Amino acid sequence: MKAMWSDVEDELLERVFYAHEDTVVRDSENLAQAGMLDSLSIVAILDILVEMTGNEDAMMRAGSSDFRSLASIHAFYQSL
Amino acid sequence: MTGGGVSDWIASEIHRLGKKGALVQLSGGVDSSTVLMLCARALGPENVTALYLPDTATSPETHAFVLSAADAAGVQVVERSIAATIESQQPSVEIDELIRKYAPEYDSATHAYAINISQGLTRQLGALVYQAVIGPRRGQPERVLRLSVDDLRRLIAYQNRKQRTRMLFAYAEAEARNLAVVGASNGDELDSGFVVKYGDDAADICPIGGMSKSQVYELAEAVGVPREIIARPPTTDTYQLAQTQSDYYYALPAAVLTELAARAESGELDAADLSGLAAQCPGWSVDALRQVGTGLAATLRYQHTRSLRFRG
Repeated sequence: MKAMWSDVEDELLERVFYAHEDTVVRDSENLAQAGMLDSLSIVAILDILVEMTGNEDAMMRAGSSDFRSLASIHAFYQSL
Repeated sequence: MTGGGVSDWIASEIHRLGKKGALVQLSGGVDSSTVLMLCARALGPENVTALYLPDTATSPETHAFVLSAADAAGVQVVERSIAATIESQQPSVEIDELIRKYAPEYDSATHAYAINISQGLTRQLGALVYQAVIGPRRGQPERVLRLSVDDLRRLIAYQNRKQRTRMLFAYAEAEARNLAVVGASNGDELDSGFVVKYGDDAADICPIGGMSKSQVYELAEAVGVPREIIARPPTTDTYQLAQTQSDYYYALPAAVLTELAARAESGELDAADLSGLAAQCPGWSVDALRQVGTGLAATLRYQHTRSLRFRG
């Protein structure tokens, strides 16, 4: 069963963005540009989305703009 | 391109550093062979040392290419195995155990692993999506492993030890002989971040650091790098598993990567019209290329940050 977004967000903040203040992550409009997102972070986000949706297809459906900000990750998650 | 200008530059910089000559670490590829030929021409072969640093993953054919380059340059080769040093930093059995968490049948006596990119996902997301693959030693990858991010980080850090160990060996040998370390990273690699920080990017001078790979090939022809080395497909020679060029980094043309990196660094990336670049890169969208540029800028920012000092 698909988890609540708040749980997904907690996982992302704890496992991916742990080096940054939660508010800074939430407020960022471009996580990569702000230095908060590297390639391995994207792998980690995909892992979490697969884990929280139980949907392996999450990886294949993601696009380059889906990881721009926490809001865009949220929108992508809702679409799964 | 004849190499005359760059040879003069090498001679002048080595003199300025007060060194007796140059030490070039040979990988058996076109870049280091070209640098060796340039140094021999600039300083005289007797003032140049070629250093060959194999580890357990170095392919047997690499040795022949190294000897061929050194012979063509008339330079002495010093060989030092870095295998024991790598092993003392982190026993390879720990890496075997890490891989066996995902593939219990993995046996490093018969199998090998590599870190590749997932080509489809990398193109789709505009970000390097790494994956571990395993297969028979010296053979083709047969299985993709879905490693946790922490385990991927451990494997990548383990691999980066090799380049950094080579840098340590190069400086130790160079200091003992009063030589300058002459690097062999080309401009495409340095400008797109396809180097290991404090590893293959570390050198006293880097004669081909301002040249694209195609310019290096042109120079290689001009300075007499052996034909078999020029014809050899580029390889990282990092793993005991076959890799193609599309298996590592972004698998995009170097000119595209350097342009994206330059635009990102100058802050023009968001507003730039990248449709022309996308037309050169089948399967890539403009958005994905923009994401690549952002990623390259972050990589370069990290690589260029060195012993940052607080000045008050």
